Amino acid sequence: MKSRWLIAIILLTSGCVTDPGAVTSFSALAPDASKLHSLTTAYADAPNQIRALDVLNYTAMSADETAKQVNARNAQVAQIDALHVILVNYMQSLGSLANNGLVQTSADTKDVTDGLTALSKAKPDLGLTPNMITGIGDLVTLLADAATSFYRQDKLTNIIERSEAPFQQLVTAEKKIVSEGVIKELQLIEDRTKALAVVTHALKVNAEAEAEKSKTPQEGDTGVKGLDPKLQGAGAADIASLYLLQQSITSNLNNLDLQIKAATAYLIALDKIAAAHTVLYNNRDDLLSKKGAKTAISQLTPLVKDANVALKALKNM
Amino acid sequence: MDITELADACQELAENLDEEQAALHYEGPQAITLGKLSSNLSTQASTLRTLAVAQIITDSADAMKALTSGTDAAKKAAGNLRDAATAIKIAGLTLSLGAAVISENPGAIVSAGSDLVTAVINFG
Repeated sequence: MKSRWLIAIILLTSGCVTDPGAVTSFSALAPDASKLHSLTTAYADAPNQIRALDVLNYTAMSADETAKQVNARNAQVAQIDALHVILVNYMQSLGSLANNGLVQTSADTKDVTDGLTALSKAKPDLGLTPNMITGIGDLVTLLADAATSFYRQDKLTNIIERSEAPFQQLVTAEKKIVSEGVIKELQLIEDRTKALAVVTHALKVNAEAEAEKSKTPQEGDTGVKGLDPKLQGAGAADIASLYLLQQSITSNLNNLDLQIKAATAYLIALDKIAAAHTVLYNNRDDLLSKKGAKTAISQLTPLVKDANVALKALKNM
Repeated sequence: MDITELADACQELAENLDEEQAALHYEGPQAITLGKLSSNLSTQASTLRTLAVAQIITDSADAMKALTSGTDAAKKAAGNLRDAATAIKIAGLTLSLGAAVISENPGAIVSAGSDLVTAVINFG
């Protein structure tokens, strides 16, 4: 507490200049909710994707059970969005509190000097000279600046101190959701797609061989040994369809690859954001003075740069 | 073994079976058995992931509450700063009203009084 008073005195004697740079650069890192949302909706739809890829009907899960899974996940997406909004709101609220524009003390104290000027004219015997009024105005501005700077720094210190642990917990939770939920699920779809690619390739090779042999590719027994008879009887010999299916699989794999890369970029951004809050926490007692802000900004700059690179990569995907 | 590890184990086993099938080209009943095992393990892994994510969300409840409290405190502090600015403004307007009353100028009194009332109402 003594150090806070010391800061207040330093602010008073140094003209109360505050630099919100460190806090505002952290605040600006708040990730757009739509970025996470696009990843979590892919996670929510994954059971449908997995079912659609099960062309041989191997899985025991019914359509109803799949729908239940999707519904449960859609409800989770709403909860994950809410969690994310809490993180973003917190980051933005720190930026708002640090913002110098919140209180324009010199403009506010003008009302006081205007009032005093009017009073001096209405009651000259008070002996208020223009110099005295200007002096009072300056003093009010100085005191108001000092009070707001001290108050602002005191509140930021307190809020950042008590929020470090929950902030880290929520970022970790979001990272787990992305790594253990979104990425693993996308990888699972990727695996099922590759398995389907193996089956499709076998079917196409077989169908082409049969077509070559009979010169009538749309007719005859073109089944592949080992495959479900239902699939063999479902016109698997249609080379054009198989070609399209293969194209679709390739496109799907490319999309999955992009989504996985996007999710991985998001994880990097979250890591940097978590580290950036720790920088604020470590410098929490002196974030707004010129010197304190400079120290914090020097530690934040590489993190902000890396986070922005990751978020930009995510946006491009 | 927690839910996530169980899901990972199911998924890894499914991948291994798929790789086995891709490398060795089993046929007939063996291929069908492998395919069914792999497909069902993947489905189970997916179901377990739903539970794992639910657990992460549930475990985050306290942190969500605590961080919301931090946000509320920051908003309240910002509001207090705005109030302080308004208080200074009101002090100035009070002086203006006092000056208008002393000068006994009815127009100035009404105007200064009106400004002060507006500022006080906005403050409240």
